[in-house]
Amino acid sequence: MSASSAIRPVKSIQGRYVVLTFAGMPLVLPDTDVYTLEPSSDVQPGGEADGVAGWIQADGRRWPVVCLDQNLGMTTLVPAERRVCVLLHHEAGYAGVLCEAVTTLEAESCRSLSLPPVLSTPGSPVRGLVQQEGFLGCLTSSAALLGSLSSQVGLSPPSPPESRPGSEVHP
Amino acid sequence: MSGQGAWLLEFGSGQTGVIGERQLLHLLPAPLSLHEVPASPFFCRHVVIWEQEPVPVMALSAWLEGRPSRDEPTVVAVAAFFDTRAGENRYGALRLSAIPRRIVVSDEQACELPPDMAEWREIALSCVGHQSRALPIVNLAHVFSGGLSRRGTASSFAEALPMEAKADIPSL
Repeated sequence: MSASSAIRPVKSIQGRYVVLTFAGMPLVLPDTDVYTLEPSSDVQPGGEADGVAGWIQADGRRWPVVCLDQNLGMTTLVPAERRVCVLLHHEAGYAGVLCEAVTTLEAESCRSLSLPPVLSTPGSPVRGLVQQEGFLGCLTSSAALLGSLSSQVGLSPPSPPESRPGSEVHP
Repeated sequence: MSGQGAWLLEFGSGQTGVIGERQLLHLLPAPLSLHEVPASPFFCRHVVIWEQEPVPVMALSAWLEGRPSRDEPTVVAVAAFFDTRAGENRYGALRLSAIPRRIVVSDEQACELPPDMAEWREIALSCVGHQSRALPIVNLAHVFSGGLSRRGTASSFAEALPMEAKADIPSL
């Protein structure tokens, strides 16, 4: 018996997916949502008051960087394995996400599937599943992911770096 | 009256229930390749690939107890149910602590759900008495509908973890 009738495909994208891996989970986004990749060593640590893991410089401004846990919630405790900062497009600019690894997939070779309703929670940024031979990842988008975090902390562009000298001090 | 075949399922933590004989499609033995879905409910954190398709894996004992289960399942049972809203068969997987046992039940065995099994009320179609035990018949369509009430205080796995279980990880 096939399970195919139980799973409805969702709209797939053209081009490529970017796969962000952290906490052992692959998170898949359209590559158009990604602005650039930076080493996490370029991230200036954030303070407790910031609520974010740090800040990164791009296009002459500073942008917030978040570290996500296994529930896609933010944590300011950053595992050493998060060596890559993926800068995502955000409606007000950019926001960084710290990852362990980043790879790409040809969207054409993937199947996009809807998320079974029992796996969904209110406010979850997971929009579906992406399957390729031997691979299964959770599909989201920059807007969905960063939108789900905006209730935890404001991700609007911060003030210029010279006005926030204290945030560069490691706690 | 002649009986009907059914499967007695053990979900862990002493929780047992029954599904119809034809609802059980496949048993997937451990070790399992489960794929975790972030931001999912603590009682349904994974999918398993079955027939090239992702099927949600439900930890019913976790839902019944209102907290996540740390036990590894002995086996995962893929089951079918009819989704009346969609008008088609759907599939879900159940984490089990033991291999299912086939039993025979009849209408004469129908009984009330005991008061000490009130947590089953939402997901039991009915109940049968079998060998001095009350066995709820599991409403799989509701279990996998996404409409389960949120038992316990935790809506996610991470929220439900005890503090001591969270890793001591260095800061950036």
